[in-house]
Amino acid sequence: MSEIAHAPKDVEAVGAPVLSVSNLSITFNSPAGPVRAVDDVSFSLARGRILGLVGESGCGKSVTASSLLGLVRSAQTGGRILFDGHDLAGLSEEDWQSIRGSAISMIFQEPMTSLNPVFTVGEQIAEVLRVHRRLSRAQAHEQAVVALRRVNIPAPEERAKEYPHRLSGGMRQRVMIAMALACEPQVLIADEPTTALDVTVQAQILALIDELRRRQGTAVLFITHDLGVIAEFADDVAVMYLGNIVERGAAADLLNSPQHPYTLGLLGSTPKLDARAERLTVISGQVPMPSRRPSGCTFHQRCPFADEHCARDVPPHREIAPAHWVSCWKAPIELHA
Amino acid sequence: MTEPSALLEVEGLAKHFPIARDVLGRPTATVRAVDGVSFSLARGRTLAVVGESGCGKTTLSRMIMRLIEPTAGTIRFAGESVETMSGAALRAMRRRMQIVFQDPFSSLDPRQTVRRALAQPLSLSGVSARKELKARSEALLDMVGLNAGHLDRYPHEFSGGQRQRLCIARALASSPELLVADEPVSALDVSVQAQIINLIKDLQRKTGIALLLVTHDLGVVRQMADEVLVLYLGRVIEYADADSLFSTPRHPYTRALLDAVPSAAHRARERVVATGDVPSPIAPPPGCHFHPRCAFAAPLCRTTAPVLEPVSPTQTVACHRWREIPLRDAPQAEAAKSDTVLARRLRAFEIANRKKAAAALG
Repeated sequence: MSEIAHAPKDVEAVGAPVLSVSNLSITFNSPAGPVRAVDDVSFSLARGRILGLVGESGCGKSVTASSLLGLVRSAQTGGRILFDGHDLAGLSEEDWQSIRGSAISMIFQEPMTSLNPVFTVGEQIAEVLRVHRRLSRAQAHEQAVVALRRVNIPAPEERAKEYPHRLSGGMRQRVMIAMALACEPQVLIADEPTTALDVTVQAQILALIDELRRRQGTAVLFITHDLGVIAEFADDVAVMYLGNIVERGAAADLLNSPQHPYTLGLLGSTPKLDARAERLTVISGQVPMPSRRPSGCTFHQRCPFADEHCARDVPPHREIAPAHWVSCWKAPIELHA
Repeated sequence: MTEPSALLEVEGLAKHFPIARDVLGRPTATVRAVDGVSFSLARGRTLAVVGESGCGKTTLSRMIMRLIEPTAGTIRFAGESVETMSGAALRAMRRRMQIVFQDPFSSLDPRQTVRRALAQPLSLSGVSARKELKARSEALLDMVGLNAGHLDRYPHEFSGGQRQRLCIARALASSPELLVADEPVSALDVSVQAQIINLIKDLQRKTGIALLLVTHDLGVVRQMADEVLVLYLGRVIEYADADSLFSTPRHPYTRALLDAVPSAAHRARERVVATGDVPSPIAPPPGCHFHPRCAFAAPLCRTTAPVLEPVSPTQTVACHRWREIPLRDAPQAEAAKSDTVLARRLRAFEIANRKKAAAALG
């Protein structure tokens, strides 16, 4: 279908870590004092695998993602981000520019605001290739059409000449994905890429990302608030609450046997299709402002199982079952049922 | 589905927006945003209007409130024709039907305290004594899980979920018989969404209010609706009671919608996929509007629009081929099983939650 090799270069390498984050902390200065947006977060992305990062507004998932692209400014950051064995801390802006869009790419929720309205989509994809691959104008244009075809856009030669406003929401998100994947990045960060789309179009975009990571072996960090998307699509999950990863593990383990009360509450809150419940299980209260982080376990005020211990001491992130990590004094929940 | 005590009866409702005119100002092209929609809604029941962007669900809800004038059709509310009402009669009618919008941030006046936001609809429905205003306002706040301490606050002091509670309290001020809720939880986080869904269901049980729920979220529909109307490009393609629609959807579009909702079950199951995007409502495809995206389309579908046919006493579908299309496998009711680890832990969570709430009350 194209000149660019699509098959994973090394099939055995599927599952090998590409990017690892350890003890990442991000603190912003606000007039009211320092605000910790991300606190001691660790995870890694592996070749050909999808890690779902779940959480509600303000939990720090987007800040975490932005930091992987060196986009977090005017903040104190701690911890380490290793990409392909290299530490990304202290990279110059110039170094970051050679990584962004080439080795690590990102797609955002709203494709309309991420595309430039005064250039055709073909020109915008070609620019990425000319900057990172040093292709000529003609070669870059040719590759842009290939990139559009790869994301299943019909009549890519014609579509390449269109301006963004001429395309539907689903088409624009395909263009964003084509642009993000034009240089065959090792890591794709997708920040709520389907939230603004209709459900039938969302299904198409998810299928596309799934197909591309299988074909190209891309490691995917998929940020979402939708546990259904995670259930269908992710290999591994990390659940964030107020800047912490409170639980992580294989998607099937974590969704069928959640150990953190917050994960459990989220699953109970999600309206399901298969049966009507009298009432949904709810998490009481609301997410506190990041500037008012509770002491101890940050979830203790909303947690039905919490006691004084939880209010006082920060729970350690421990491995409760093989490859299943949780930060909760009360796990496993059965002991308190 | 026409109940004897239908509160709201809609017949052949249509809205055509002109998009181009000739030199004499006569429309030469129109968008049929809503194209001949009929349904009825009984007191105390919930009807969900479902569809993707551009299907006409919002236009439909606005017409019922008379915020948009219908091009054709009738709307009867408690036996009276709404579409011909004007002046005092329309204002009186509007107190009996209220609307809650998607975005609680833009539907509250930022310069109005909660007290004033509630006093206005209350005084319009005849409450004027200060004491009574205060008592009624506090009762309304209590109904939606807020309290008297919130009366002198401004909207910006509230979170999204609290603002939506306020909007609901304000809508209930005139003791309406019908509540139209246009994507009432779409702008909220999952945990807050669940709180608002439970709140609306509780209020409905207490007050017997009828609910017209407009949404694209099928999970929300499953948890709230008694009946469902599926719209596609302005037309009803399926109208059924919720249980039939979710267990035996007949229209390929309904099936595609249900199958598109991401869930673990899809890892195993084959699904009906709608290819492409929703076409522009300016130039909808001829015949059945859905045929270009439909896996089952036949030549007849390209030329002739199907009409709603009864499948059962509680289900109607507008599809030429519904008899030939095999029913979809029942979705695995994994989460509905009560003996899973997840179900057990959820019960423990619920019990602990109740104990905690009881302890907090003293």
